[in-house]
Amino acid sequence: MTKTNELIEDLVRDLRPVRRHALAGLLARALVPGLALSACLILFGHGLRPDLGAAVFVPAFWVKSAYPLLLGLIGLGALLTVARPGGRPLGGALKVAIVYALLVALAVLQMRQAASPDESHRLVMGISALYCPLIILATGAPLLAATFWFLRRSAPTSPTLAGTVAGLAAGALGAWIYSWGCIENGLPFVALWYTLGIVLCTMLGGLMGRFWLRW
Amino acid sequence: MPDVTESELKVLMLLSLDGDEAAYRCLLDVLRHLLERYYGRRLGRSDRSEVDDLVQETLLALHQRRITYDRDRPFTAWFFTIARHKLVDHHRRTGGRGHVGLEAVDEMPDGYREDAVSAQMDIQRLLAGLPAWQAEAIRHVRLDGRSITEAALHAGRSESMVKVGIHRGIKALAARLRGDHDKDE
Repeated sequence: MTKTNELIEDLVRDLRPVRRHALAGLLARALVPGLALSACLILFGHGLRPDLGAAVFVPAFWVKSAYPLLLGLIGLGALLTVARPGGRPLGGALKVAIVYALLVALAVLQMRQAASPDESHRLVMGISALYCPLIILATGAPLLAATFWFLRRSAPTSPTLAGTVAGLAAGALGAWIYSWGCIENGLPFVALWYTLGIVLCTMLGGLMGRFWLRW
Repeated sequence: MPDVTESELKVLMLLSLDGDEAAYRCLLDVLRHLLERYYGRRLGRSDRSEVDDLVQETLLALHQRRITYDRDRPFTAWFFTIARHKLVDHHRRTGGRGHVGLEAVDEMPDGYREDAVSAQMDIQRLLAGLPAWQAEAIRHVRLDGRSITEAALHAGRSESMVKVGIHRGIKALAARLRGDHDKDE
């Protein structure tokens, strides 16, 4: 009883004003170093793609970059929802499905235009299919740390769901960063291997959430 | 139990988010009693120390995670989602003992459902007990977000008078809510 009174006095003494958009501000503060670290990994650990000057004139390059960026933005929106008690980002799942369907449609178009079986094969497998998902996991890692830092300061009431959303946002933003270093131009490649990297990061986030997002 | 309504609690929460200590103390005090009833019912009155622990944990969670309250949404829905989360966590830690508790977890305390229609009326009622110019100043500065200068101009009083008026008004308001509560126990 008196302990509760003391607690209330302590909390009152510790009161600091909270601005209207403070939660989004907290997320932004988490993301800046996360994105910076992830970008450094690509810049110094991998390097920008050597033909970047020419690639910016290829539409496929921009589709490859837009796909994970869109997923990342959807993920961040959902993250702000799950960060609040009882938040369920139902609209997010639908948006993800739409974005993926669009990518698949564009990938099919690109495959149809392929002149030879060799070219088709290259559009699907590229030359980096095996380690592309792993690089995305690596560039997603600093962002996973950032999104978890954010969630541990907010109030997610379903740890696994919150961790999954954090993993999606982190993996997708990590893939977006990697899209500036990756040399592939195949959209089927992106639909398969980028997505695999993002899915791995999403699953890792869900698993981590079960352990680190309890409060 | 006092008839503290959603909108009264929400006003106190909004004032607290702006850094108003008197309003915050009042809010925590009212919530503390609501929580004692909420957990008491679900754990059984005999578990006095467990109830106290949960009450304290929940107030602390409100404090540490108040950044997640959306000013445009109902306060009690947010708050009791946290309270329920703490209760579920409690059952999980104690090995699911008290099955009845888990079933009762989902219902919100009576009278704390979303009730936007009466919101405006409740705020008026809350402020009605104050001197008219104090109520007006609180409404202008704290609820509408106008500056002290504007409120002073409107009230035809000095800025420092307005500041003191707001401060006293909130103190009186807090005392009134606490008084309401004590009468009831």
